[in-house]
Amino acid sequence: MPRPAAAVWTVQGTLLLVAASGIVGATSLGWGSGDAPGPGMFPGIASVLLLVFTLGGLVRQLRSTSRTPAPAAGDEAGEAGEGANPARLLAYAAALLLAAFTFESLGYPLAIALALMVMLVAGERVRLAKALVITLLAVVATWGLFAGLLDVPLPMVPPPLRGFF
Amino acid sequence: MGVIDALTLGFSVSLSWQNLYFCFIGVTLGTAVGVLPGLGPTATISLLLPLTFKMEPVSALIMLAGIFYGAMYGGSITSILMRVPGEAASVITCLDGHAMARKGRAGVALGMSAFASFAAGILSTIAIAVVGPLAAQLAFAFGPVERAALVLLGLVMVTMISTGSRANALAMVGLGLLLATIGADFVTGMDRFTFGRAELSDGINIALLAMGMFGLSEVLAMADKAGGAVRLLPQPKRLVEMLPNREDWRRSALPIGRGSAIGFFLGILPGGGALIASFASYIAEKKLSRRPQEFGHGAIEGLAGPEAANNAAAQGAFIPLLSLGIPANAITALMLGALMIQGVTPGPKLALDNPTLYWGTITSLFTGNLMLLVLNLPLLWLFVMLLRIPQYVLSPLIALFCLIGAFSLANSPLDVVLVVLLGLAGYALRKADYDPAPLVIAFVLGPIFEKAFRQSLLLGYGSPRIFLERPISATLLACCLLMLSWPLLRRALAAWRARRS
Repeated sequence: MPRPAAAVWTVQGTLLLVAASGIVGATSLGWGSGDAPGPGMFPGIASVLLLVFTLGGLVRQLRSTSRTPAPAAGDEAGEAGEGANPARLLAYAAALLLAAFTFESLGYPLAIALALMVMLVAGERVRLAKALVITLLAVVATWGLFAGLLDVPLPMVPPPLRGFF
Repeated sequence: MGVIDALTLGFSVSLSWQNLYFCFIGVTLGTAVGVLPGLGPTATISLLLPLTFKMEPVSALIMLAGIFYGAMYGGSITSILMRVPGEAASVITCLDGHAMARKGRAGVALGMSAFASFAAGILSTIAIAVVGPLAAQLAFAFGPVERAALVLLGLVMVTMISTGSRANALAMVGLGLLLATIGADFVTGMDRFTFGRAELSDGINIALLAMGMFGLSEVLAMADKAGGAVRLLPQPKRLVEMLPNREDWRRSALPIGRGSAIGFFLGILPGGGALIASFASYIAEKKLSRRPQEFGHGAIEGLAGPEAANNAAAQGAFIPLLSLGIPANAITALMLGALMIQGVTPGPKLALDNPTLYWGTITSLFTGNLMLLVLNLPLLWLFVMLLRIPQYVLSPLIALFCLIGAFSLANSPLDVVLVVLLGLAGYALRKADYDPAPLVIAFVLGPIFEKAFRQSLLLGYGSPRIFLERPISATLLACCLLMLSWPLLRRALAAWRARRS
């Protein structure tokens, strides 16, 4: 599968934006001088490096638009005989974001269980009953390992209910 | 006391039942925390520090040392099987170790990783015993100026490990350096890019970045494959397929030797560390190899060298700790704290004043490494069994471990959000042909470079000429210049040869 040009443009655009923000942020922190570098000098240099080489990549990309694009490094979707699966990718991405943003508000067991169910049912098309068993086992096992054995204080219940438990 | 007498005394201490027991506890715990993403050796040693207060100083140090190098091996297991570095120093192992697993050589990769770690452990124990005090003096020669030049050379070399283009690798170096500046500035204390979040004042944890860029991005890459739901990574079926063959040994012997030397040297330098050692070894092997194109696609040299290097570096770090009382990294700093609480002050006179502690600890590195090998080789089949878990179960489980591992770093829900965002960013970067490896390495080297550079400028009264006045730093800078201009020089040389012929 050829490397999707839209992904490349989006990433390069984002990198340019990050570099520009870095330069603005570094300037507000203060670059300092050669003999007394300010807190902004290193972020500034790093942002300039990012800007210059992303622009370099962009120019190279523009020059090579007429050529056949190569598969991305490490992009297994580019391997022979394999295609992309945007639906499953989307399910995984959504599940991860769901777990991340509800980890504290819903508590660890519920947030992780929801994310696992999304990955298994929507992403992997696993039957509901099987997905429920896998989720239950995974939540109990990780709770036992991290909270029980290693004393990691995982948020167990949503904050409003914490007084009751 | 001669070396033989000293080693005899050391073995009489480290082979006592009590110390063997604490060594076993240490390496087992170390391997376990190395496997789990997030909970690294630093956190484990911090948690266990109060336990050591009631122990004999030598037993305490033997157990803590066991955790340290046990974690180096444990971190490689998930790197090889799942591309999730259990520990920061195992980032490089992901590159070729996981590629070997994808080719059905997971057992060989795990076996070679154990053997390389063992060989490096033995070689560096001998080196510590023979050249320890001399090598400690070398650490004195590396001040901030030399360290800044060395790290700059490392940053230039980072681009060589990349599988993408050089421009993209340099862009990733820039991004890595930029991400490394998040947090409080170490000179002024001013917050940089923290967006008012107190949790970001200490910066982004390296384990978060590694889990996001390698672990979660791999999960997303696997999810993006059509028809991957029932796919399994190829597994070895017989014991013989799990062990390295003669060709593997032939290809790995020299990388293990070189990796041990590089790791030992970088381990004794303050700020050197296991990650930098494994990365330096990887670059050296790629440069010296007759098959550089195989690197990143399952070259056994790319696994054996770095694995030897990270273990040798972990042990090399004991030289400045015991001989000079200077910790080379955060883990040895904790060990120094444990010793000082017990009333033992490491330094040049430790070997004379407290030979049982000094030589007992050094010889325990030998017994501990042997224990690790004996412990891990029979478990190879068990680790490889992990590959039998169907992909549709394994992928969500890897994601789950990354999320909980991220939380357990600082018990902060913000870290869970960060690891997911880094994972999504890592996947997008991979998709657009930006290799995340240079980003992660630059992220580690960035703060060391910034600190050393700013200290150097203070030493030189604001003049960067100080870098040229010191022979070691001047040589290292010349190497940087040569490496940066090498493509142009090579082209000019080729043109000159063509004109001449």
